[in-house]
Amino acid sequence: MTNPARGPAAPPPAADTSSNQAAEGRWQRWEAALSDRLNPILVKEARQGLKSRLFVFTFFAALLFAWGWSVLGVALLVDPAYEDSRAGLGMFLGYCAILAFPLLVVGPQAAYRSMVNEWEDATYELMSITSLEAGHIVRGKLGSALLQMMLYAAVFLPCIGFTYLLGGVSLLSIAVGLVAIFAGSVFATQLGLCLATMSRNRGGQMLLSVLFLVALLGLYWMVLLFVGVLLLEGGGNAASSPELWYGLFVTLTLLASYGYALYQLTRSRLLFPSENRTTALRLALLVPPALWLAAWLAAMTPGFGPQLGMDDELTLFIFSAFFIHWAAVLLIIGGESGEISQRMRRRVPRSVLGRLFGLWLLPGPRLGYFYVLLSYAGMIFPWLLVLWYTLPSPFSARFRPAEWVRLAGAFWCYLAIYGGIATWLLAWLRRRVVVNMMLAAAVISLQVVVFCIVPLFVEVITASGIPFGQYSPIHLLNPIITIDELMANPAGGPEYWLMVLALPTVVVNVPGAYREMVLLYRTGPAQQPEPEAAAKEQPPEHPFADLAAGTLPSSTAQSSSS
Amino acid sequence: MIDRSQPAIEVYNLHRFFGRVRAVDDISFQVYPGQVFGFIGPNGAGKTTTMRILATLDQPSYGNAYVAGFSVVEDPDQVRLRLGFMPDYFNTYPYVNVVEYLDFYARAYGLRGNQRRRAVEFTMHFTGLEPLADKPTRALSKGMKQRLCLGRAMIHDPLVLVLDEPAAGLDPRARIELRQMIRRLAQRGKAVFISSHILTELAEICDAVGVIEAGKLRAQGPVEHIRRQLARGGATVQVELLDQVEQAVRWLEQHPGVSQVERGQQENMLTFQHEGDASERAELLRQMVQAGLPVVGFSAKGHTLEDLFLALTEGNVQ
Repeated sequence: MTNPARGPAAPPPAADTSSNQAAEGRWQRWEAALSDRLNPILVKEARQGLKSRLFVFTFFAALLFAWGWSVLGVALLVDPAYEDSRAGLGMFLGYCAILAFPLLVVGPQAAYRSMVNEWEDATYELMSITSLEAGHIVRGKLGSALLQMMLYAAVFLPCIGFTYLLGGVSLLSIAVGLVAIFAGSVFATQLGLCLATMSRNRGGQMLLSVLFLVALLGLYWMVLLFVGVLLLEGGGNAASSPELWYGLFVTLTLLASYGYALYQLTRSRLLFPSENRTTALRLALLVPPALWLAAWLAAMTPGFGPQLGMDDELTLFIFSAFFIHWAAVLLIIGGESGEISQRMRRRVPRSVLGRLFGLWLLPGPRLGYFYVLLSYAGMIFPWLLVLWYTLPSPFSARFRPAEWVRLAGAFWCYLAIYGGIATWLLAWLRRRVVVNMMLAAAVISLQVVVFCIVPLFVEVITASGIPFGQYSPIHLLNPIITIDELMANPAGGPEYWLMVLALPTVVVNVPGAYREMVLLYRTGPAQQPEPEAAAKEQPPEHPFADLAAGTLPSSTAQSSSS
Repeated sequence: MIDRSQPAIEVYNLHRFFGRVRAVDDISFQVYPGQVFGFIGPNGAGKTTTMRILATLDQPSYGNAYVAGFSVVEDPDQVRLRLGFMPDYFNTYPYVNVVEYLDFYARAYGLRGNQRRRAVEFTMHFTGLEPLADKPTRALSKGMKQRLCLGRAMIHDPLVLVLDEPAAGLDPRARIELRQMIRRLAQRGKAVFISSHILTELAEICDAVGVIEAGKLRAQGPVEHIRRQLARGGATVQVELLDQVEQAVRWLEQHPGVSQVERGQQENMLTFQHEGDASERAELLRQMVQAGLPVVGFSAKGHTLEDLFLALTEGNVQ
């Protein structure tokens, strides 16, 4: 407002200028409010990532390739010798190959490097003592990768629209192809972030970096193969195959659940030892096996799942995946530090219900061992029993409960034996060295060598005594050979011997688990007398409160930089 | 308002063991708002470990520490809101500029909207980084990076600042400027807990010091207090004479409480050790004049922080 008393009034602004300014002001306020709500890591990573040489180079290289492919495609199309109603399909696959490289290889590798750089440059510690939680950090880095994906998608969208106009590929097929690439990219980025927290020494990081790069290149070809086969076999129409939808749905659900488990694992590895690094992770690890079982049920139920006609193979595949999941969980738990802070101990559930349902989710490698055994058994056996007694005849005709209980039981015994020995050995090692996931992996690998590879050598050397290729008891601890025997010979009885071996390995870990439990409920040494902290009742002082009065202190000499 | 009567940092019986190594072995001290507390010790003495525990980056094996009344063990989240930490080694993000760097940390400490903008603006102004706002952090000199790190530590206006070797590698001008900034922060009521190998730097800004060696706190308190404690063992006195230097040597050697009488670099200068306090030295001077010795100058050399450090530590390493 202009005060007329102070001089001539300024000419009134034009109405449209005023409305433009108001709109601009609203936009700025909205932008500022949005910016305030964004994850700080996302803001920082976006500022940093979009200016990095790697992003700039990859982005323009992808643009160049897309332009080149478009020119080549158009040149072929104008050639009268080239007449194909499926021209759009070929063009689309080409764009997918170009787009998938930055999304499936460069982006995840950049996310991995971004996390590793936080350790190498000692910036992580400074970040960790702010108000940011570990989850913020992981989500921020993942969000930054998603932002870059969106930029790529925005650039490729006109090209992909062009392929649709050319014909030969349906919108649904385009969507399926893009979803496969984007889902793969998000999962690979999360995997990269998780791997980056696995080792903090340079050698380990380099090794992981190389392995991750190889895995990403493999993933790139796998996704391209999947999209290619999907579209070429379906003639550019993905909806033609009902099994595809089942497979796609199961794959995406499992990817999401494993992605979430990886997120929780990454978060737990970033948390301070004083925090509870375990409970959220163990809860997240329950989701994928539940989905495996749900996928199995869906595949076996007539009228709901597809008629795959391969019950045994599918069951074996899903039970094996279920077993591999829990074996991987044993590896993660084996690498837990076992350190339980005083703060953590004060927060363990103390009610009867809390102890009943919460104890097995609390930190401790031996408690974790029993968490694996109980979760496995608690998920699969009641499920099988319910199916055994309640299912209607069409399903029960396809259901061979006795065989599958034997199969599930044998897998449980392997978890008990391998996990029990590893947990016991790692507890012994923990008194001497720092145990981490790498050491846990080494211990389990050693067991595989001793129990699986050595018997194979023995069999080869003494081939005259034991016919090669036939089941022999020396392979009892080899899950592949023994499960194969179980499937092939229902009258055999290796599962009973497995139970005999599993029992002592479980029993030997009971005292350790009990000690961990007692330790959890033993609060730490008495605290020093706490000071009379009046501040405890109050929130922290308003930052720079004195600035509201405009009392800026004088600055030091504003010397120049280098 | 800052209550200066309540300690900002309280450390009680702090222990930190790494296997058999007692990195920190039963240390206790307090730092009040507005105080600059110097933490002195040789390499490997336990300074950084103590600072990391205060910054909640590490946990004590036994004992506890409180920042603004909050335990680093029980309430690390509250401690982080009230403490700014400047480590001895740090790096910045290569592709962000100065203002983006500070803005990130302001966001990370939960500052929003105008509060955040004011915090960034004030910090840049305070640290003198305003002219370099758009400069990439990788292009900053060591001194400017130290300023940026100090700015990062103070962006959320914490009550306590823990600075680990902030002056390491700085040129004299940058050191003076850093010293001024630290003093101004103390004047604003911040409790500054600072370690440095450059003891002359600390002597000029510290109100109190703690001397740590092999994990144990050898002495602590106001610099003058420790100085007086050590001064009970005597002081080095320097005397300038017009002439009669030989007579003065003989007279002093016979005087009780005087030892190690030596000629100085100049012919008419003498130095000796005197066991006694300032009043006894005044009496000695009076007697020298009465004895007819032509005393031109008489000065007792006080203990510097370096003297204190050398007197209190034994050079133990672990």
